[in-house]
Amino acid sequence: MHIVVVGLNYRTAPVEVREKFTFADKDLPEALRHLKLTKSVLEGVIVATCNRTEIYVVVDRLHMCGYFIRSFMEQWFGISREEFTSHLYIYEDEQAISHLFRVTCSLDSMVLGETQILGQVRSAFLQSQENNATGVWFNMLFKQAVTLGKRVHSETTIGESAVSISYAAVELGKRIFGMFTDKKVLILGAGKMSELTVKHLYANGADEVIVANRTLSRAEELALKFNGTPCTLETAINRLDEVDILISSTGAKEYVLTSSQVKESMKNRQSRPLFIIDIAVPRDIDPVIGDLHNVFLYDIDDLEGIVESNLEMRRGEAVKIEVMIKEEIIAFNQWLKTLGVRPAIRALQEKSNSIHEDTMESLFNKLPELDDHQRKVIRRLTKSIVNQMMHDPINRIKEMTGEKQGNDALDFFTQIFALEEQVNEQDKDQVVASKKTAVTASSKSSEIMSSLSKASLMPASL
Amino acid sequence: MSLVNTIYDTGIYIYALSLLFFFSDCIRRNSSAKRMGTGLLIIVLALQFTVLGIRTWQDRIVPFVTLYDFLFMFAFILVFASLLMSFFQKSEITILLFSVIGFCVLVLNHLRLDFGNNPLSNWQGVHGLLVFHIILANLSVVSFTVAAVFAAMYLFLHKKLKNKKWNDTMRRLPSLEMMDKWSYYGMLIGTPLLSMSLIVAVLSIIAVGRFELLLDFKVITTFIGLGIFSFYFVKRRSKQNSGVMMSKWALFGYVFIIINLLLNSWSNFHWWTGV
Repeated sequence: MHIVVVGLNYRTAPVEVREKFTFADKDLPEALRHLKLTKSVLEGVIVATCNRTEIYVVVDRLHMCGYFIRSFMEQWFGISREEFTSHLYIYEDEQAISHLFRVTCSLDSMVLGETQILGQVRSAFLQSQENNATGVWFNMLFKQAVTLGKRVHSETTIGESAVSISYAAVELGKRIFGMFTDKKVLILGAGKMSELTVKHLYANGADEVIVANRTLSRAEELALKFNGTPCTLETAINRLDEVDILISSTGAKEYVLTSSQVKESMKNRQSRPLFIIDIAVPRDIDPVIGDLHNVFLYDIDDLEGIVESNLEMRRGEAVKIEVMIKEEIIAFNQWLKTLGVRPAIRALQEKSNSIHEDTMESLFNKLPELDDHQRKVIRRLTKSIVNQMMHDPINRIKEMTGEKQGNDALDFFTQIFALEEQVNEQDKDQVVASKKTAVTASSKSSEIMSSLSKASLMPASL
Repeated sequence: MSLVNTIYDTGIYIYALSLLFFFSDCIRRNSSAKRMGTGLLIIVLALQFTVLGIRTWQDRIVPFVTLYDFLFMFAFILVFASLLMSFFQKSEITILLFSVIGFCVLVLNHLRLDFGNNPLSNWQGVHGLLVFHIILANLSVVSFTVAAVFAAMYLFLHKKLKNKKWNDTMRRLPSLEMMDKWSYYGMLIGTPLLSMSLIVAVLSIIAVGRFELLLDFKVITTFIGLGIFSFYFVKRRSKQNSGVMMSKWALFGYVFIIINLLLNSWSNFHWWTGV
C-alpha cells in the first residue's frame, strides 16, 4: 500500500484556480464517500483551506493512482482535467508523508509558522474519521502529524514573533509597557493601517482610544468601532500628555508633530514613556523626536526591519523543524514496518492454534477414556507449551522488522514458518474488507451523485 | 568540616552545570535546558541547606556571623530567588544573571575565605542584636541585588529599543515597565531593611558604650550608601526622572554598597574576614 497526496496550493495555482477547487463543509462527507469509491483508494482525507486543496489517499497500488484522483476531481468539480492538471502536485510515499508533516508544522504555509493550518488539518482528519474514510494508516499518520505540529509550536519559536507591520507595533509596545491595560492610544489620521494597528492594541487590552482626523466625521466613524473619542488634529496634539501610544498615518506632506510640541507634553507626563508609531509616508513625525528621553519613535521602515528580522528568526526555526520532521518520518516508517509484521504474527498464531486443535482432537480420539477434567488439563498445558514456544520468535520478529533489514527478516520469518499462504490470504481479506464498506455505499452514493448537478455540489459561495 | 567542604564543592560543581544549562537556554531557546538548569538549581539549594543544617547542628547556632557565612547565606537566598523567578515567564535572563552573581559569590567565598572564628565573641552582651543586624543586612543586599539586576536589564532593553536593534533576546526580557517596577520593589524592600539593620547596629554600639565606633569609616560609608538609596526615592517621587536615570541610580547605589561590604580594611571592628 502507498500514501499519495494530490493537491494544489497558493504556490502552484492562482486564486482564480484555487477558488474552483474548494470543498464546502456540508459537501465534505459526500466528497469523502465518493473519494473512497475511487478505484484503488483505501483511505482518504481532504484538506481544503483558502490556500490549498489537498487530497491524501492510501492506495493499494501506485500505478494510475494520479489518474484516478484526477478523475475524482474532474467528476466532483465538473472541470476538465486539462484545466487543472498543470497546477497539481503529486507526492508519493515518503514525500507525501514529509509534505503532510511540513503542512501541519506550517512550513508550507504562506505565512511561515502560522498556527491556523494545524487546526484545519486536524478537523479535516476528524471529519474523514467520522465518515469512516480513514483506516489504520491515516489514523496513525494524521495523529502523528497533528502531535508534531503541536510540538513544533511548543518547542520552537516559529509562531512567536510578529510578521506583519501592525503586529510588530504591538510586539514593540509590549516590550515597553508589558500590557496595554490602562493605556491610552491616540490615532492621528484614520487610515486603514492605523485602524489595523489600533485594532490589535485594543484587542490586547488598550484602555482608551482617541481618534483624530482632519475630517471629524471619519474620526467619529473609527472611534465608534473602539468605543473611542473623536477629535480634531489640533485638539489631539494638545492632549498628547494623556496618551501612552501614538499611531500616526495622516498623509500630510509636512510633519504633523514637531519636537517642541512633544518636548512640551513630556513635561506633564511625569516620566511615563511615550511610544510613537509613524506609519505614514511621507513621515508625520519629526525623527528628532526619537532622541527625546522616554520617547520611542518607530517609523514604517523600522517596523519592516523588525518583521524581516522576525521572519529570519522563523526561517532559523524552520531548519530545526526540518530535523524534527525527518525524525518523525523515520518513526512512522518504523511503525509501518511493525504494521507489516502483524499479519505474519496473526498467521503464525492461527497456524499454531490450528495445529494444536488438530493434535488435541487426534489425542482425545486415541484416548477416549479421559474425562473432561483431564482433557482440560492436557489442553491447557499443551497450549501453554505452544504459547511459550511462539513467545520469543514473535517478540524477536517485532524487534527485527523495526531494524534496517526489517523486510528481509519478515520474509525470512514468513518462509521459516511457511506462512506465505496465510499472509497473502489476510492481505486479500483486508483489501476486500476496506472495499466492501465503500461498495455498500456505492450504489447509494452514485444515485446521489447522478441526481445532483455539479453546480449544487459546488460551495454555496461560488 | 571535611563533609561540609565536600558538600560545598559538590554544590559549586552542580551550580556551574546549572549555569551552563541556563546559559545555553539564553543563547538559543531550549526549554529542556531550562528544565535541567532549574532541576540542578533545586539540588544546589538542597545542598546549601544541608551545609547550613550541618553547621547549625555543629555550632549550635545558625551560621551567619562571619563574612564567609554572610556571603554563603547571600548565595543561598539568591538561589532561592532564582527558583522563585523560574515560575514566571520571560525570566530566563534574570535567572541567568542571579545565578552568575550567586555562583561567583559562592566560588570566591570558598577560595578566599574560611568558616573562621566567631567575630561576635567580644560582643556577648548584644549578641542577639548583632545577629539581627547581620540578617537584615544580608536580606537588604539580596534586595539591592534584585533591584540592580532589573535596573541593568532595563538599561540594556532601553538602549536596544532606542537604537532599534531588534533581536530575540529583547523578546525574552520583561517589559521596561515591569523591570522598572521590580527594580523599584527591590529598592523599596532593601532600603528599610538596611535602615533597620543600621539602627540595630547603632543600638548595639550604644548598649555596650563604645561610642567611638559610630565614627568608624565603614559605618559612615554605609550611612552614605543609605543616603544614596534614600535619594533614589526622593528622585522617584518627583516623577521627573526617566526610568533610565532611576536605573542608573539603583546601579550606582548597589555598586557603592557592595564595595563598602567588601572593604573591611576601612573598619576598626568589621574585621570579619573569616580567615
